[in-house]
Amino acid sequence: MTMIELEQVSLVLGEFNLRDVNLRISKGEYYVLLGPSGAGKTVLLEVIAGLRAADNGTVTINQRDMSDVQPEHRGTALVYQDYSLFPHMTTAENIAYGLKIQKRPSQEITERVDALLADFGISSLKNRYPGSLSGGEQQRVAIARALATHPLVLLLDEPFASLDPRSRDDCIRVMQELKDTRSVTIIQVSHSGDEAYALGDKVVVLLNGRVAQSGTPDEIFCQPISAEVAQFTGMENVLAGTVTSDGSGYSRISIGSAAILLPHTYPNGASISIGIPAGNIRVMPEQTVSDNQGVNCIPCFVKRVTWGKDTATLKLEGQILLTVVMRRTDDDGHIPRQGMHVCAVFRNTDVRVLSGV
Amino acid sequence: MIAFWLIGSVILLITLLALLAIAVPELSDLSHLASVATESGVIEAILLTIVAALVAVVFLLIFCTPLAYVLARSTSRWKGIVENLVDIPLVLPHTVAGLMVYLLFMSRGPVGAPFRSVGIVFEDAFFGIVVAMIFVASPYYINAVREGFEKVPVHLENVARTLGASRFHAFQSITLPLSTRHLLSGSFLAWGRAVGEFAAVVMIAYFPMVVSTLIYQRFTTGGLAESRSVAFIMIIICIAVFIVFRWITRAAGRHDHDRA
Repeated sequence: MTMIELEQVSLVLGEFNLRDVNLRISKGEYYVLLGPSGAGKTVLLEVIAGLRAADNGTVTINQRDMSDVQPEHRGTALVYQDYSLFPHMTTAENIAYGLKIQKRPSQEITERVDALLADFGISSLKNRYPGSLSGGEQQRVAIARALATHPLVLLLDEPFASLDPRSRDDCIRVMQELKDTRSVTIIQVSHSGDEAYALGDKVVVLLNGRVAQSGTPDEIFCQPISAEVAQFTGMENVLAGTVTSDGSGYSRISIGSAAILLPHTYPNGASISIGIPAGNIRVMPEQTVSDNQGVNCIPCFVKRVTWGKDTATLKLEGQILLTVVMRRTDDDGHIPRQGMHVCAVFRNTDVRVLSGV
Repeated sequence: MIAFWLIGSVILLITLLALLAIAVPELSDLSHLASVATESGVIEAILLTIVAALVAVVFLLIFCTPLAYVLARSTSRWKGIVENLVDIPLVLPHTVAGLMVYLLFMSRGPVGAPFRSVGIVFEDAFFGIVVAMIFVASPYYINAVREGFEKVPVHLENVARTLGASRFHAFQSITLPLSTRHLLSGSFLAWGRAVGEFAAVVMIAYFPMVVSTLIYQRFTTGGLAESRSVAFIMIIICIAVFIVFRWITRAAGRHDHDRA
């Protein structure tokens, strides 16, 4: 059953545009809205919540056209990045706010607030004011407050953005539990692939006010449909060139003086973009690689090695520029050092053709 | 920093000296001060001034708070024009403001005439004093309160609305309590401005006499000593009100630092 449907939603806001956004979200689904700053993610949430009116298009929630429905009657609850807790109310008063507006009996309000405080592990914060809570605590209070009135749709605007890594992991766990235990439909704005993988049933990439791609996290991150999506979702090696065919049954893409084997045949002379995930490239000593069918071998020079806790990131310079991520081991002996001459090796099936065909 | 203090202290010194210039002679002749303070004309003028200024503030609270909210939240291109209109009384000479109020509210004026037909008169009357006070004090109130509303993040209202609050309920339960300090300071500024108004008031209502008119009348007819005692009594009252106001606003602004 469709819970939210956006059809051709457009909105001009100064220099910013939301253009022809189409989305269909099923009941109980967890949707992650990915996009860079200024892509229109927050505005889209506000349009769904009714806080901004779209210039064109329709928003339907639970089969009902929301065009003339005020925010307070839409059945949505919004949690902003800054959590927007009411500073003059205690934690319990914040959570009870929506229930009091609904004029629920005080006994019911007390029971509901206590249950939510317990569910989110924040009972000890009941009488504290938001100013004395940590970011993670504020986030839990904000989500508990949003859920108090049993909304149909929970809208989360980058809820983990301002948290330290530990609080963020805790809060992701809270959201996973929420997803498993409640039937609420959730749309979360994020710019983190980890969050999209951890929580999202579906992911939508919003670029320049347009839906650039939507699908499962695997589809978005492993099969981006354009160079823009690939670049945004963190595919490190996005290259553009022209298809050349030598009659051997393989198509190649010429990028400067380099020629890269493609996974399928493409029309000769076509301009295309490709992406090569940095984790799929192996680095081998020069001259040790034989020219196997379907294997690309690009001679390179290691320009820089950046060491991380679990991985090392290599910047390779040769006929093309490549980024390679290698997993670290105890001795790191397999990781070439700066200045070495190596071969970047990857199969043609590791090459993702992004656009132009 | 010392240089800044030295330069800044010039104005403090002038204020302090002015207060001393009134306080020293008055405190050295307490029996005269007591006799002036108990005069029925003085008591009536002080009460009239305080009450008229309070009525003006109540009017501003009711009619200008919505305007301040609109100015704080609106993104309309007409907003600038409205802001300029609000600020007009600030830049006018007070006699001009008084003349404008008089032309509007005199018995033959476009507003005064219909009110007169239902028995409400502004010329030389309590309501004349009130409208003059409202006119000159409104920008102080509106600007202070607007600033307070602007400081309340619109996200708080948005969240309240998605939790089921109507626009008015979100304003009443979230924005208004978080702007209490600015509402109080706007009210106090406006009250102080209203209490101190002379030129605009005297144009429409010489009688009944507010304190400013009484001081001027005594200065021109009885001399310095006569007017100084009334002025000193008014200073004492204003300082007392100011202390109470500071105490209340400090308590009302206790959540200000929490604002997102």
